[in-house]
Amino acid sequence: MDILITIFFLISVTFPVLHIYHCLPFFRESGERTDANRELKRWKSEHGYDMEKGISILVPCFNEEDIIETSVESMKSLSYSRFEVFYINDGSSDNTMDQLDELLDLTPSSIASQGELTYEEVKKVYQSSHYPNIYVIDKENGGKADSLNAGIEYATKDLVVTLDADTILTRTALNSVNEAFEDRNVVAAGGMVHVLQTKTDHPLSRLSLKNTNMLIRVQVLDFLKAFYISKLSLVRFKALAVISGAFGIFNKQVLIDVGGYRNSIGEDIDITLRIQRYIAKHKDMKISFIADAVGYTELPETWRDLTKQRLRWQKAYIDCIIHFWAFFLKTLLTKPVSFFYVFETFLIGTLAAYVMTGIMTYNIINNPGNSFIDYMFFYLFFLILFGIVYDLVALRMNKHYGFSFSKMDSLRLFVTILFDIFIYRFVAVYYVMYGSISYFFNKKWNKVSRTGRSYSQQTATGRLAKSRENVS
Amino acid sequence: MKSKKILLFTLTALTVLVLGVVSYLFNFVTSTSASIKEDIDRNPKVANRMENIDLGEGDPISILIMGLDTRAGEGGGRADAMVLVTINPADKSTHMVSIPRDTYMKISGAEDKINSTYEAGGTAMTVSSVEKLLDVPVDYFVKVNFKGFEGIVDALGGIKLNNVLEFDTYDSEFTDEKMYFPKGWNHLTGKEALIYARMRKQDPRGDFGRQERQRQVIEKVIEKGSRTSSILKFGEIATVIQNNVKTNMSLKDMGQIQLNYRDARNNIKQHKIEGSEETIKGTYYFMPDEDKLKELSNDLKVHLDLIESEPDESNEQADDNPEQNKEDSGKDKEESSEKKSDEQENPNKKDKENDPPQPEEDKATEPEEDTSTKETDENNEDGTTVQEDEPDTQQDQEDEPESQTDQEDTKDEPRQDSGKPNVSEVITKNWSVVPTQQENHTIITFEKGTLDWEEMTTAVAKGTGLANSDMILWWAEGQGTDRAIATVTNKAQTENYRVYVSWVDGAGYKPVKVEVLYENDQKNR
Repeated sequence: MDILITIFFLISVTFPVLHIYHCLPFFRESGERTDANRELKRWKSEHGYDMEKGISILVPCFNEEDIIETSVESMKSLSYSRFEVFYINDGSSDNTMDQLDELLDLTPSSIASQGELTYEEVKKVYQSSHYPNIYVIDKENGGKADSLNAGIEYATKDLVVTLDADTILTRTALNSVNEAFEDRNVVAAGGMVHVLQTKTDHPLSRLSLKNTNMLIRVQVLDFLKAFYISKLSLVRFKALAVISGAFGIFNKQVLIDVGGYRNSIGEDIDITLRIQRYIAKHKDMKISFIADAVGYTELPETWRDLTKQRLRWQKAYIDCIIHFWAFFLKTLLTKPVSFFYVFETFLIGTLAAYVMTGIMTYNIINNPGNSFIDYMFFYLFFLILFGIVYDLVALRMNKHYGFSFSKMDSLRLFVTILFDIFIYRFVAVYYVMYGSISYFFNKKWNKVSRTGRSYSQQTATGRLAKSRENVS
Repeated sequence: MKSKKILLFTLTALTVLVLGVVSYLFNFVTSTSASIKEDIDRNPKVANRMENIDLGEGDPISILIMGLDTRAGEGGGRADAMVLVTINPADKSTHMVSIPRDTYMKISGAEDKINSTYEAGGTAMTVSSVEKLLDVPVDYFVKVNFKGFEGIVDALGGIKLNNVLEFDTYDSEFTDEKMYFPKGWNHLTGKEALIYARMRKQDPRGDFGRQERQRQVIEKVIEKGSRTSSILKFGEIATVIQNNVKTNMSLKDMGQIQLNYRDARNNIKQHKIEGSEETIKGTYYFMPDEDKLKELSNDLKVHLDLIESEPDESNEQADDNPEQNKEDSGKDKEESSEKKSDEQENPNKKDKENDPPQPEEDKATEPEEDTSTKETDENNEDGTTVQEDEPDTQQDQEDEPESQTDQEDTKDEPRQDSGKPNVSEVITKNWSVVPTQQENHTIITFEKGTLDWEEMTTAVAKGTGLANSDMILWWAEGQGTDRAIATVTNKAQTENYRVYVSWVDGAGYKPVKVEVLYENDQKNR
């Protein structure tokens, strides 16, 4: 039993240890860029020296009347010229459509689809008379994947950026995307996603925890860890399995080649894996992570919403292991993405949670008070220490990529780290365990309510809560 | 790029390996310490003493090593070999006392021998019995069964010792192992060492010879163990001792003892308890000689820094310098050895004398090497006859009357103590005699108002230091014709004493021993 616990412990720390090392700048791939030359970049983009590739931004909207204005406003401030935006109203039952009309002054458009993907019927396509590069696709309700497929059909540019309705791009995000895709082998990429609730007036350098609750703060750490450590490391291994639905960038032709989005609970994992499966046959193609393409997305602020969101993510993981099992099995030892997905996400991230919990429960019931308690303290101590190291590395990476918290936030971060390692991680294990089981019994999409909060930047005026999909 | 990946995987593997090793060690250490740890109830005085022992500071400690005649997992059994080891790192010395397993001791529900205490009352009872017998606190105990003993010796790579008695086990009943131990230097494996330490019947000196062999083996184990610093060795020993050793030491205690007390092994002084053999109702008992026991106890107390050396009742100067220490111990028939562990073990170097503090009598036969060398010498040269005679003849006769008293003494104790030691402190001073006005004293008179009674109680009061008027006498009883034990308190009943007085012919009563009690055990009489 002791040996078993030790082995499990070691297996469960192996991947995090690997990622902690691998995310360090020392292991940067030759093609990666940093934001070291941000000023130069801005100057170049502002003076027209960039060869701008055309970019189509797709924003699926289902009952987003509260956040849509924030989104529209952010589009106006982008320092990029060759882009178009498609708001895809997925049969909203609220006033999303009216809001869009009010904000954009819509007129019917004659833009045509390419007819390669299938999706629910499009009622009508509109164009903004104020901003001719913004379109609205009004269609029957069909889900997020369905909406995105429709968007791909109407997109006219080569690059497609998919955003959540509550994702706000920073001014230079598209310039960074443009630069990253100058490497012709990059067929898809993830942008850096920060937490909207921590956005400040300096969205490219400063984050603030001032107006956030503990739940948001702990998710801030979670995001920093996920993007700056885990995703970064996986991208370097060519093993990224999730391009966040909050901010993803794709070569449109590749999206069409893989058959578009599958209408499933986790369409963002699904599309990433489809692309991975696709590039498994195209040696030079790769998926990238663009650290300096920054977006902000809103996170759930209540335990209830967080639970819904995390359970959905976990269900999505399970859904994809089932859907892609043939691919995983065939390439388990040849493709890093399969290896990491099966071993890290499924065996260790999911199955081990049950086994460990089982072992613990068994021991607590059968050997109360023996030396087992010592191990538990020991391993908890280790996990705590490890958790702190992991959090600190994430914060350091955050700094490396040009973001800092205010001095005032130091104490908040400290408390958040404690909350993270002593409470949140156990809740996270619960999400993994409960989500995995409930996948087989309840495949509903769990919708997360929006805060309707007004964000200080720009002219956001979103108000009142409603529900909609969230990031992944 | 490739080299970076190799570096990455190497780093990760190393990190995980380090975590693995650390967690394995932790697991190992906690499971070992959990499996060997046994805590017993201690009497308040020892418990209090133990709280104040600072192993880091090198406070003197006592350790009772108990060899159990049980197999792993079995309960019960007997503590067949008991050796009390006292270590004083300040003067770099170690004393070892064998406690004869047949030592008479009143136990309810079992044979009245000290080795039955383990069966009757477990470790706690054995420990408190040894404390009672020697009147010194037993801080730590280490119980080792056969398997644990063998394993430890084997883990240390066996021990090398000088055997003084040729014997074999071809016809022995206590073991099926067929072994032969020639005279001279033997390298013993765990199994052999166990047999070597257990054999009694072929030894003309009987249990004394065996005790000596046991101490010899323990000494070798300590010596080799204290030189061991390899973590692997430690791991091997830890594996062996799981389930085969029980102790109230924590691993930290052991580590500190190994570290801070190791120098004391260079000067190991061996003691045996003197006494006589006696058969009561067909059972063989060992009756310790009370005076010698007291001397020994005093030695140990001095060694444990419990008392400053002070004169004991028999007017002998107690040990306040090494010279006298040696002398006293010499009377105790103890074997003393000075060893330099880093020197080669070589029995032929015995005539080299480089130990200035050695007393003359010891020097003559004392090699600087090793006890076993010394034992050889004693046996071969001048020691043999003394050693063989002493337990049987001479001593026997001399000590007969004393032993009888002892026996009564010991028999009475359980009643007074009801199992738990009640004595917080023992005072033995050279009190003067209360001059008598009686002309013909024949017997102690337990009758108030008589002159004899007055004189006796005055002696009692003198022993306690209380004024006659401030003393309540709760109980007094005779011990033979010329000794009495009285239990008294002060008027406020805050101080409790048990006073031993004895009649000195032609002179009067004098207190010989005062025990300070935790509570008045005669109050409800």
